[in-house]
Amino acid sequence: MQIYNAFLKVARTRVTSILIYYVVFLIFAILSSQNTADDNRSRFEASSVPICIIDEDKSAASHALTEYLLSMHESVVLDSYEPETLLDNLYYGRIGYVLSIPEGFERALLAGQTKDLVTTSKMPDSTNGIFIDRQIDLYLRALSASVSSGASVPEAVSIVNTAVTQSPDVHTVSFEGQSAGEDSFMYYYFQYLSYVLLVMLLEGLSPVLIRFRQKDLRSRIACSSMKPFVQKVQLGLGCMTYSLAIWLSFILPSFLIFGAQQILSKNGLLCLINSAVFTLVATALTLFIGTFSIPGHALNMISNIIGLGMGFLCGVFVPQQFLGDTVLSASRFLPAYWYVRITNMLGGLSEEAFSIDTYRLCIGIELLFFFALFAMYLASSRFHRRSPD
Amino acid sequence: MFSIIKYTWIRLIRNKTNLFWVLLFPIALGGLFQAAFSNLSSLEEFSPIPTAVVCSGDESSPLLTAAAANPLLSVYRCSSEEALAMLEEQQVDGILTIGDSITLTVDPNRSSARLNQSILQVFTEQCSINAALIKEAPAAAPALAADADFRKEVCYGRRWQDPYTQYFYNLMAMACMFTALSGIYISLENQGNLTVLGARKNCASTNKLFCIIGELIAYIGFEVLLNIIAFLFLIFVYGVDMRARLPLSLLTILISSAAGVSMGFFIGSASRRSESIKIGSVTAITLLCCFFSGLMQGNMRMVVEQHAPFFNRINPAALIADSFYCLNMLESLRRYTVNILTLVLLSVLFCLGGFLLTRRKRYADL
Repeated sequence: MQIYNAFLKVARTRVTSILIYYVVFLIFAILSSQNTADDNRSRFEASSVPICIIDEDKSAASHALTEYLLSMHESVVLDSYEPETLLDNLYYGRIGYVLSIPEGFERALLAGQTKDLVTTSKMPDSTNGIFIDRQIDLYLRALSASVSSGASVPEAVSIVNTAVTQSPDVHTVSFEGQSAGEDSFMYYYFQYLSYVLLVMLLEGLSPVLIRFRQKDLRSRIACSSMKPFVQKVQLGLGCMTYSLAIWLSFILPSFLIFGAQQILSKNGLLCLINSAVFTLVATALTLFIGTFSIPGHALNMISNIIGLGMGFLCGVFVPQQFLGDTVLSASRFLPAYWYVRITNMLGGLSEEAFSIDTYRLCIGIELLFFFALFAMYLASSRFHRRSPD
Repeated sequence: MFSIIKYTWIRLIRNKTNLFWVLLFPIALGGLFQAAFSNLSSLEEFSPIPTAVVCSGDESSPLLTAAAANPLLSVYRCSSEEALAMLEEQQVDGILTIGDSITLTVDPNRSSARLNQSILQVFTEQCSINAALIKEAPAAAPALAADADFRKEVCYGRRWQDPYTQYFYNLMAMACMFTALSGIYISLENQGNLTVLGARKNCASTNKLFCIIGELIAYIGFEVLLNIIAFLFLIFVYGVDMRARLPLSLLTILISSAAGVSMGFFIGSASRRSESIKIGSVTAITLLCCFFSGLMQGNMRMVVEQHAPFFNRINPAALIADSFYCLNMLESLRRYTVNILTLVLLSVLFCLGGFLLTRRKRYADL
């Protein structure tokens, strides 16, 4: 097992840099999944939009409008209401809508003025914004109509509020037994793991493999009595050990974060199998890239292009349901697409209901990617062995 | 000094693999971003809501006319069975059943249609409130029917921009931060225990500080050139909307690349450890900084702003991305100036730190 031992020896020399990557990626995986889970939890509550209301009138009418909107939406209080702060919060999605009720709002309403009663701001053409626009229009129209019919402001507010409460309930009809993820944190953790495992293996394992492709070590191994097949098997075993260690290093903390009960539940185990298969794919890809003698500087760029590119195209960072049909058609040719599809399905993060057949199909396709990449690795290493230095 | 800059440039240009990947990195990732976000903006934009309308009473009901005339709805008239089938096949987002009153039926499992369902709910509320008000106060009817513009829409910045452009700001920030990998080589090539070139330089009579300054200038110039090419490629070939105040954008790239190279130089000088550890440290720091500035998750910058605003003021990636944001979105250049000055300050501190750490490190000390 000399090559296997040599592999571990080379890997050990890089243990500090691997630890640095490990700490960073573990922080990344936990924070990302926590942040996305929080974000989605608020998004799924019956279209409650984070809204910022600046009430400068502080009258009965302005209070009524504010209360009507806040009965459905989430109020966001900011430290400052400067235009720059409001723009920042709108652009980066912390708030979806800004309503400013100017001083004299109630006076204008009583005087029958309906033009530009309030000032609003939203991202152009955003559906969230149009939704709130309609609600404001609805309420102000009813209020101004009541006032114009001779009612006082408190009377008008009372009439409109009674009419609002008498609105018909929405009927619901379900077509399939789909469960929305109650706690999506674990599923997002596994989703981000695809990016983390890929970059971690590319950044950590590739340099070790590239070391074995360098002329001195390659010539030393080539002149030994060991058969090329045995050499490859031992190198492959080394990679498997390394990948297993990386996979375990991310799976063991998940037991601490989510608890053994959740990880060892049916869905948890299916996620574990999925991540293990994806680790195989990432290892095969790393083996393939390791056949090229790429300098460390360029290797960073390549691993980030592959990792971030796959992350954005396959739905790790952007939900798959938001990606266009063309993008999704193209991303089907990437293994991360099938990995993410499984986590989405298991966690109820998409509209696709869980089906064991689809799960098997996705795992099967991931395995096909593994075999294809492994074959490419064998072909490439054979080609590089024959090519002159 | 000139010959140091000249020969450093020649070395950099001859390193074709490095040149190729440094240039390709933002261009390739930009292309992938462009592909991934191509559909997202259109998803954010509002389009009429596909709605099935079932008439369960009088065909001449004013509610039917109101539904058909509403610009927010794309109405399909059908029977209740057809409507349910359309709802199941996700061809419509809701069913409006119109008789004496109006009712809405939706599929609660369709999370992607949640907002459209809520807009439909507002429509049914509107119909019901109008009916209740006319019943309560008939004199209100003309005012309910009248057109009124209650809202005045304002924009708090120079203009509105696609929120997904922020990913390109962060991509440029990452490209500028990755110049730190080049910065590492300045320190490596001056450390005799790590590179042959370092050993050679340690024996030379040229002043070490003089040599490092020359190399810093050469590396910064080279990286700025590559990043500017990539930036121009993004805006002119991919059509990314980052053209506002172009000269200032180029200045941002210059300062940001200088900050990146000097950060790499500082990290490289901080220890005598191997190249792999230095590269690992720089990559990890860069990825972490970019993560917190919103490269992987667009709202991360605001999350940091809420919990640790000071970090946004010193995180180079957040400063770079925010500088592009200020140039494109804000009228005032005050915040941009503060960002740029902070980047300059960071560059100076990194360079001074690097100089102090490499000072008096002779071959015999290593």
